[in-house]
Amino acid sequence: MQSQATSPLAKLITAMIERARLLRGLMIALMVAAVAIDFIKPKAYSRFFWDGIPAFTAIYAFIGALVLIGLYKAVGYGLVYRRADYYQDSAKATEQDKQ
Amino acid sequence: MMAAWLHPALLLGLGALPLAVLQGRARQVWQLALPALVLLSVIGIESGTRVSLEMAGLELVPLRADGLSLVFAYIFALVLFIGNIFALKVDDGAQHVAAALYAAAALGAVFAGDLVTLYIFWEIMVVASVWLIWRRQNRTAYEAGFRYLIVHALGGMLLFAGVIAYYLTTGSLAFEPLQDGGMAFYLILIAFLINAAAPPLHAWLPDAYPEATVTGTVFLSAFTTKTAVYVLARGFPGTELLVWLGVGMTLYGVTYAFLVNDIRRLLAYHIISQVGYMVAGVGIGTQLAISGTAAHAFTHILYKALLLMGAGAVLQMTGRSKLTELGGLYRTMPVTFLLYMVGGLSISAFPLFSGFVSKTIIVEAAAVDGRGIIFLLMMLAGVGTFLSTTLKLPYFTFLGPDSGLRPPEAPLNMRVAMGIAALLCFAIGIMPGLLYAILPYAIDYNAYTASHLLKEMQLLLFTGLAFFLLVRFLGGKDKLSLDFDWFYRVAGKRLMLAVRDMISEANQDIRREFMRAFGRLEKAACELRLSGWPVRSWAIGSMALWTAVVLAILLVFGLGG
Repeated sequence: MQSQATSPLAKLITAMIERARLLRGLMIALMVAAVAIDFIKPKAYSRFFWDGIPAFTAIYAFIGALVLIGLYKAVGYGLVYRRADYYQDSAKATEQDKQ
Repeated sequence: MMAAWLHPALLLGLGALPLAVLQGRARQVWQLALPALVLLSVIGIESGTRVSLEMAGLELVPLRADGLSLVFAYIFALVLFIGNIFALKVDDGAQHVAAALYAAAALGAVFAGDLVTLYIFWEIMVVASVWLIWRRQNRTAYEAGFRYLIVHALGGMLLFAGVIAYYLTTGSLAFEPLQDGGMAFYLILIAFLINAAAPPLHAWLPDAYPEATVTGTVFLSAFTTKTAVYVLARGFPGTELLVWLGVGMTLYGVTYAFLVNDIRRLLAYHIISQVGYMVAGVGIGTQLAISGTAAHAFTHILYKALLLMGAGAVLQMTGRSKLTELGGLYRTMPVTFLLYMVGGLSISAFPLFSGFVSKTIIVEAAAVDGRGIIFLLMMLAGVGTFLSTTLKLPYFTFLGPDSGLRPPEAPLNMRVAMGIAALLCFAIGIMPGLLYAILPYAIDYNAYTASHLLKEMQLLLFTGLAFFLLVRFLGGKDKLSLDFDWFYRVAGKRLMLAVRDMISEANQDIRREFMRAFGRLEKAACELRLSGWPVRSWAIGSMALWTAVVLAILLVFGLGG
């Protein structure tokens, strides 16, 4: 990505974006660690049946994110999306009705 | 201790008036001094303070301070101070007066110990706040403001009717937890839920807030919904309906936040989502849940103000607020970007930031209460929050595809206001004890256990994974997403017009039929006259018979005597 940043802060962010592979690696390492620790540490609660399942939250979050994305796409395209000027058009149509 | 007569709402309400006439530096100084004085005044109020007065035979309690009301009062005064820094360079006295009166009314509502006082401040809030929308001074804002006003006028009427019903039933006006059932209970509950923006009574919020002025939205996000959370916590703790309604709000808000293209509308839907956690907390009703609700209201006001200040700064500097028209702004607005991210990490309950120490109390309260499904649904809403507020919005606004826009950084006062809010979000995140100390009930809760941290990190990291895998499908769409306001903006209008046309048509039909019947009658009368039938000769026997019939009728009905 071509840098047009001028302030040191913007340059720092640009540098981080340019090292996206490194950041991605770090994130994957963190994910692996978060799941691995869950396998070895004793469970803190036994309130619900899933409390003892290692990496339950990780799986739930990942699938939950996919479900939410699918849900919003379905609601959007199936039900609620209209042209950006929908209400202006409705108002015009109503004005014409009046006449 | 604060002088009993110096009600913070009175101090702020009267102090707001000079803002209408002060100019330049004097106005700016007073804009900061006034909320600072109010904050000091609120801090000076001791828990347990109660001021009552007799008026027209009714006992009114304009000031009732306890753990629940004070935590809301602190944050209201604080956010007014921060918001006024953000609005320091706005040269529009009407907005400053409106913001201060709005905050004064919100303070009055949380200190109200009786329902009449609450109702009065409730209505002042509406009348003051609508000016923060109208002062955007365009047609869209004007119309959205009117819809906002009408919805809240309806809410006010329901509250008024509920207060009367409550008084007639109980003979009391004291604002205490309402007993389940009865007309008063439901009227007041619906009025409160309108202000809490609970679907399907919520559409006024995402309709109006994004149309308000850049600075006005910050105030709007703080007071109306959080006053509603306070009154729900005061009047309806432990109402089961609120648990499910609240969780429904969390998911409704996050789903719609994905759909919209305007960044301030996206954040407005997240107000509904976050208030959902609080409403659910009120419904759970345990001491842990109520304290969690108060804590989350406190942190939410700060991080939501921060997020809306960030989005407002983008709008101010670029004149745009649609995801499809933004992108790559970090190059020239890095400070705004990073401060926005603090708000984003806070709302997503990222460890070390404020949302982590407040939202998790409510989730924990659900778990302690054995509500597994509620617990899971709240977690799912957390996933949605992180996806849209902290990943999607900043990615497509500040990073992502470059829009080519190179606006200058937000003005210093805006950055300072965002900086203070960000600092507080971080401070609360690392020192939650400061917040826990002012909650209505003492709580035995530690957010920073290994288990909580692990759960939260898994949730955020794997949500992030889903986002980056699907990022190319998640950009904004230049579309409008219909919501419940469609029913009064389109369907209601169509219904009114159809009814009008029906009445007009029926009117014409009736007139036409009447005139036709009249014409027929006239013709018949004319024909009758021409036929000579009425003046023909009658047989004597026939005349005698009819005379006898008439006389008999008079006799029977006693008309002859």
